Amino acid sequence: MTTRKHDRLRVLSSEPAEPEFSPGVDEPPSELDRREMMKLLAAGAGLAGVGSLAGCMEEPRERIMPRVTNPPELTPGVPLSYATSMVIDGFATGLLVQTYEARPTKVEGNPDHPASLGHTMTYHQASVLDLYDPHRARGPLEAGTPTMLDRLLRNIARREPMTGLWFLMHPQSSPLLADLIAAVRQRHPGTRFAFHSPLDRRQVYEGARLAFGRPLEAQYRFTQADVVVSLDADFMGAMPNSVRWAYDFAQRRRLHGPGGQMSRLYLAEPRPSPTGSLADHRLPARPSEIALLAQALLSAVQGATAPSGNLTPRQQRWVQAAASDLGSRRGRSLVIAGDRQPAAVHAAVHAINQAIGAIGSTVAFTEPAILEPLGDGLPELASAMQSGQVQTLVIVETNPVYTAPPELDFPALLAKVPETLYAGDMLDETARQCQWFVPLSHYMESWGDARAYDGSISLIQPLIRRMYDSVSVWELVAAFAGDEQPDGHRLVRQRYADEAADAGLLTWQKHLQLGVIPNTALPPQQVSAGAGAAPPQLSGAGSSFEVSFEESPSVYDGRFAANSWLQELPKPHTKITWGNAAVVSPATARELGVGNEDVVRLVRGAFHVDLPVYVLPGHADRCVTVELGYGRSAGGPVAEGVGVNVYRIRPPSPASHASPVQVIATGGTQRLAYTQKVFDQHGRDIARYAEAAFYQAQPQFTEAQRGPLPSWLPEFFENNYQWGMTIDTMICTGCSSCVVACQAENNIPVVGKKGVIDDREMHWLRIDTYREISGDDVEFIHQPMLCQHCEKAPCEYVCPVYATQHSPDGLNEMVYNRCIGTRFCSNNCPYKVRRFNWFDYTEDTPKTKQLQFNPNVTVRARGVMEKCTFCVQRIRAAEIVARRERREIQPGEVATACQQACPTGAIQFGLLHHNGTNVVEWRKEPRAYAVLHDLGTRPRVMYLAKITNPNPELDD
Amino acid sequence: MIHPLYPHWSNTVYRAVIVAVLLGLASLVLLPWLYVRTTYNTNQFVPWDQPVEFDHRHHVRDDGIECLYCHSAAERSPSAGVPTTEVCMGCHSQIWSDSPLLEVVRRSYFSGKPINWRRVHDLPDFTYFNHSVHVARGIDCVNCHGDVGSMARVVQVQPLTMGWCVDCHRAGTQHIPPPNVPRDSWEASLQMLGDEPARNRDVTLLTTCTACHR
Repeated sequence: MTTRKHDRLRVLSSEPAEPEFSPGVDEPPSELDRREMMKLLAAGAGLAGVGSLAGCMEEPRERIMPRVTNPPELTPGVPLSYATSMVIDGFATGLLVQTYEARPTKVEGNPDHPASLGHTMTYHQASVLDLYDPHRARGPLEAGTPTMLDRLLRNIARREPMTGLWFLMHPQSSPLLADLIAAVRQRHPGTRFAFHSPLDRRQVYEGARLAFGRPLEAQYRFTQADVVVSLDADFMGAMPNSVRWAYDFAQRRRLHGPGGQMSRLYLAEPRPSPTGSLADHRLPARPSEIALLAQALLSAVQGATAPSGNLTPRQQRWVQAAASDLGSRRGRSLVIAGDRQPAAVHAAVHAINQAIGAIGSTVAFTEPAILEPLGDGLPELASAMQSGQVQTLVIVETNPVYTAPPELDFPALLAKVPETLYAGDMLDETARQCQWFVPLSHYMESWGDARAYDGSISLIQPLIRRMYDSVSVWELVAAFAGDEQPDGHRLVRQRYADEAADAGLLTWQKHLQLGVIPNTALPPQQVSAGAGAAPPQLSGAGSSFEVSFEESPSVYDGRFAANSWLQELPKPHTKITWGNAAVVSPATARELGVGNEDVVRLVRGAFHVDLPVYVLPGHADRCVTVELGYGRSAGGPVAEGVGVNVYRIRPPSPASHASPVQVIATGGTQRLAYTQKVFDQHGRDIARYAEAAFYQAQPQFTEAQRGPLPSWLPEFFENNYQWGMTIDTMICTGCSSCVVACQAENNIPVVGKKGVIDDREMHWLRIDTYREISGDDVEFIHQPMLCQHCEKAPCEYVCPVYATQHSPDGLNEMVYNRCIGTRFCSNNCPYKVRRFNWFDYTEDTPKTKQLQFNPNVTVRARGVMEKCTFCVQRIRAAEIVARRERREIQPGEVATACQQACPTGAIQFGLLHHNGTNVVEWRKEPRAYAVLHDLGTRPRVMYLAKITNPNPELDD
Repeated sequence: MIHPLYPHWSNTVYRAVIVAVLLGLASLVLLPWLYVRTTYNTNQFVPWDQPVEFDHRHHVRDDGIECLYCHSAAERSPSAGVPTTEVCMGCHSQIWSDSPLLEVVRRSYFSGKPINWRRVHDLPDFTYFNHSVHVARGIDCVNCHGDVGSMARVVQVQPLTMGWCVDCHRAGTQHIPPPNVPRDSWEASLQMLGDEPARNRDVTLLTTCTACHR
């Protein structure tokens, strides 16, 4: 016995010495840094003293303030959902926002919207927190002094025709805004509108123009694609239509049984992305090499001779295999290029799609939904500013002082403009250098419209009255068009008066209720790719380092940096929170002689930044990936000073990557806050995966990890009314939308960077990522890990006060008001899903943020344990409705927050006697298994093993 | 002769001290245990000041207005709700339209500012009680709120402690009144009918934690 124990220790110690726990976690907790606390929670701290004094006296009695008149649809205590849309860089995603007594609390996808189908991304889930941000601007400023909004708008509207008027804003797709822009141009002739985003898609439209002679938008039909080749396209995570595409791809991907057919995904990219984790053949490639691969793939599908010798043997094999798979499935395959790739790559991809018969079958083309896709941009504006042609500059939302390339020296250009107005939600970097400032309304406070990726007109309706003195984009532009009292509602009604005229008000209300005007998707265009679309010859085999600039999966381009939910969201592959890193491959780290948290200096010409290193297997060699959006110097205390601003070395063109770049180890170190430190399963079968051929041969390969085990704990489930969850890891991309949804639904606090470093994050649902490394290949398995609601739960029998116990319907219940904080349960939980409130994270919550709290979930205080409840508040609410109506709960009536958010539908939840539902049918599949089954805990969450579908010809 | 070091009565003192210490320790537990059960702690029978001198006796007993006429949300919502000013004015724009007692109501109606009532029945924030499901199962308002119709000012009659809730949830079938039986004959009819009214109404007694704590 002792020898065996000794052996095990030796085995463990022989593995790479990666610390499993961060240093200092065994020390007693120190009080949360006051400054940190202020940063997180801001206002309201001064009230704490008054509160403690009042504690000695009689508890204040609650007040009841009934409305004076009640709208007929509103019953106090019963939530209502309204359809609206959130727009990111011009593309709308339809949402349903839940409101309690007219305050929005939770965002969900709109099932009727083509870009959502009922699911969402992280940004949508977190947007409700922005609404209640206590640091939002509260009124307009004139040179830093508060002024009156209506007077300002009136003055704008009464202006004589101006010359040299420029607008700079994010790409827009709103038909209403198009009308208003035309009106502004009529009133102020010569007005120019520059549309710019740090994550511009101009090259996409340039590519279409190269191929087809005009800018077009590709509409991919992933449901019909057996083979997908992605060239740096994270189409399930970071593209405008990702929510829809993730769902579509998963439909064709998910195996229903060992004999089923699944699609195959080839993908080349610099750093592992959410889409990359599902790829069957993932080829790490530097950004500049993508063009070479596109060119090689084009000549291979056109049946030309072997591609140029610029490719490595591994790349050549990848290209050959992809080309033969594409060719053998004509009309059932497609190729997609990443938005940031240069126009030539997009043109080449269109040519490939033409050659493999994809155009017209799996790829269609429509007019772009966004306005003036190849119109003015930041370069045109900058040269006009340089030559002094800009008299008045109106900047809306976009933040060029922070995001513009350093060569432009935008602050200096801005100083040359006589009159500057900034409209945004906060006093950010650009706002501080402009004369005038106008607060912009949150989308949940505005009337408006926008187009979805497929062109469907989506309506934006307010959920709450404006909290501050602010305007919407439409109202601001309308003021410039001469509207003295712009009113978003009136503008939208006027715009759509014609569309609803024949049927009147009822049609309009129906559209508002749907959130989208039906049948407004843009029609497919007849196209054919011209010749001469070959990309220019690029040398990808250069030895110099490349820096690849990526949007952050947390803060996007920096515009969501003030959102603490997103800041604390672990990134899909690195699990870094609160900051960015220089992500490199293990080989490159060895070459540079650095490891995690060692600081490197990235030098491009005269510009440099210092960043801590993060080593990520599966990353391309001699390439450093950095995330944009960090290192803000203004924009609220949550955003400021988190991470490093890499815009300072981002080149103007191409903006996707910089080369040559010098990478120098500085010798310093800097802490990164990551939530997962061990990515190895240590030989245990925690996250199962197999190839499709193996699954077909041995379908029962997870058999040992399910079914009953002998136990001396009593069986106490008498009825068959039992809840359960099934998670299919083969369609989980790790995008983390579920994590934010859980946080929003369950009032989960944020703990700050230091809290994460001390392993005190509070997420009830985390995504464990395992990296299975074999040679050059890395298999990523994402496993959403939440309370497993074990039938024989180890936490329950160690609680001295019965604060955690089992309900008759199979939920592991946590009773906060009983918990005395011994933490025995957490100690005994093999899944480590219980979280302890070391501090009172919610005490100082600002008044505005309190409005976001879900009223049906207890706000936990210091010293209690908490964990996933299977969204029991939703279960009980549905049960009460069903009981009131004297009927059984119907399949699909209860959805957990994570299930609702998941774009691919990997999480399924329901009653285990509802045969025919996904949750039941999936767990009957042979690849179902329970995590740590041998412990005999009988988890209620079943996982399905990840199945990959590699090309048998390509054995690398 | 050797004198004892302590006088004889010191034995008595010693025993008394032991008893006192034991009693003291016991009272450390017992006194809070008793305190939380007092009506002082549960806020029972306190006639709170309200912004309007609303008299349930007049409205319920004299006028025969049903509880649900004003507290209509009780059938659909977790909270029974306090009527909107509009509901008050529905009658009082016609009758007693110039009564000085209704000045606050009129001012609320014409200014659009809500009346600021004091909550009488207040559960802790970690407890989620749902009116609608109880009303749908035939639990009468009187079961929990007492005979509000005979109160000048509404007071809390029941302790609203967890023990009190669970008493009913363990043996609730005896608390479901038969339909169409006057209140003063409930007890007699329940003795006759047993749990039949509860069975007819398909009552499920929940004692699981998450029934109330979420």
